[in-house]
Amino acid sequence: MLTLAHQTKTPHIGPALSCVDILTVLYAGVMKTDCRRPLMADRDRFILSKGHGVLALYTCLAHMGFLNPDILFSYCKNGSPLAEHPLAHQFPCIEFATGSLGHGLAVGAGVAMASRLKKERYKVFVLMGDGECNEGSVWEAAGFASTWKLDNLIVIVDHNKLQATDRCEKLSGGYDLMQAWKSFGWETCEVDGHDVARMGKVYTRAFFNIKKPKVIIAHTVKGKGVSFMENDLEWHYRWPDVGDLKKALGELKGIRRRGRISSAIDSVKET
Amino acid sequence: MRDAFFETLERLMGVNEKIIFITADLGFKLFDRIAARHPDRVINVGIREATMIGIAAGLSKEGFLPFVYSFVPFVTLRCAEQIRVDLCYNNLSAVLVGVGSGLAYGPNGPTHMGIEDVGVMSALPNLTILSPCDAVEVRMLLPQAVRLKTPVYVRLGRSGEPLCHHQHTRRLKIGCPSVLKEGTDVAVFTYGSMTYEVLTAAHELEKEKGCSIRVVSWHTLKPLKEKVILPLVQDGIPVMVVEEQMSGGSLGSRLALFFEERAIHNPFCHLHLREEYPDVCGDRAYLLDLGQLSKTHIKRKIKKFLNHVRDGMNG
Repeated sequence: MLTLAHQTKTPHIGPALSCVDILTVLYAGVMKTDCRRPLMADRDRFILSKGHGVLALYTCLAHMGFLNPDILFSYCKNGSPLAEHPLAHQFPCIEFATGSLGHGLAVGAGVAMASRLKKERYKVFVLMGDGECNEGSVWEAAGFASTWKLDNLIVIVDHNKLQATDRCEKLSGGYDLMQAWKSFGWETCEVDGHDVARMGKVYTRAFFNIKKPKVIIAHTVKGKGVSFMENDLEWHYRWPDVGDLKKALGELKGIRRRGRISSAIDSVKET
Repeated sequence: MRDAFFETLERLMGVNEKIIFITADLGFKLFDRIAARHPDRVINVGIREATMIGIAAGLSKEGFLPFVYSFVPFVTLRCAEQIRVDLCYNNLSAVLVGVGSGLAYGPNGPTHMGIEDVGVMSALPNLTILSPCDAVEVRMLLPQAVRLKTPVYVRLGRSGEPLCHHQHTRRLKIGCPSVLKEGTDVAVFTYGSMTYEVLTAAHELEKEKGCSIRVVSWHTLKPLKEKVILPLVQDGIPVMVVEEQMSGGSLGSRLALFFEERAIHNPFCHLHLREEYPDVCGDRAYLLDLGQLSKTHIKRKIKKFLNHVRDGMNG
């Protein structure tokens, strides 16, 4: 992700780093998917409502075998199917084009509604941003989903506390996000959005069986994993130059050597 | 038109189990019958128009065909970006149905009028736009709309409009404007509830002044296809477009551009609503009169246009 952002001089590395652990857990351990049959009828559906985090999704899909890893290097180049927000009709594994905020939840509610009508049992996962929760259309859809008890609809809010120009607290600090979802009739829980093992443990059978739509507020850090990007709004917009990249990759290598992520994913799979 | 719509929808839902009716809390008692017959396939989402479109996109992606129902401004401008992204960009089939086209809901005030929707919606790729002129066109076009693989926007009047077509007209096709009356002096293109005014005006002028007026119901506002436009104008006939709509992006402005780009220089005249919101209350007839689009005004303007064309030729 860092290399791609560097090569293409594209922004949004901060919000991609904040949600990549969430995606990793979903794709590696939670969702029913099959890269050989990306459109199998009973697959779980995923909608990236915060379309600007797509770099994390592309990378994740490439790791999971849905995308050819070579194609990643066309990211954001002229003629590429990989844009800064997911394009329509490029890959079966990316079911909807998104990028304008506040759309994904209603679409997800429609997909969840369809499963009821078709009597199929797939789940629908929607990843949203915390800033995105400013959008009125989110609350329209939230009210609809709880009224119709769409219990196979699961939202994960990437709560990195920073939105496009300022801290969430400053722009929407007048209410508690979790309480807002609760008052809209949703089952809520919160988790450390970078603790892969903990996140995995949220997705239990008991959790899925609750007869309400569910929201997981994942507490995250914008720019997670690269010390100088963490919690710095600058990295919603900046791209790493050669020096930044070298430093960032150096830091990440340290983490990888400790092998934390892969062993954590194994523990998710076991639950 | 509204009653014809619900009758046709009921029939279509009976044979096509993929059709889902979605309303944003409008249509009191109108969908009771379909809800009784198909309780699972009627979804009242509440007053949530943006969400209604998103839900339609989700259902469509999973193989259903949603019909999304509200008043014209609420099913178009209120949720324009959802239509743009969720339906048009993702190119998912769904039928948006707006009631109260033009000035039909006049006494409700401009918030409820459908007088800019054609212009705004015409800007969106992949969308098919239908504006039937009477119950016959609704019954004939709706079953065809269901077979399209694009999002469709159908704008309806209210109810009880007089018919423009014969009850048993058979030859109506999406994409092909329908000639209601042949004529050689001037061709008037119109659509929706305006059509009846134009047709009556044409018949009266023919009787009173001996003018020969071609009246065309332009029920498919988008896409506009060259091969259907050209035969209607290739005899060099003067063209007048009459619409209960402001001019930006409307049929008249798009046809004018079409003619200009192809160097088609038939005399051209465009009657439309002024670009302003009425500042008084009034029913449709009153507001049409105020906007100089009543039958009397249309007659006067056709005569004036014909005189102008004749003077031009003589001069």
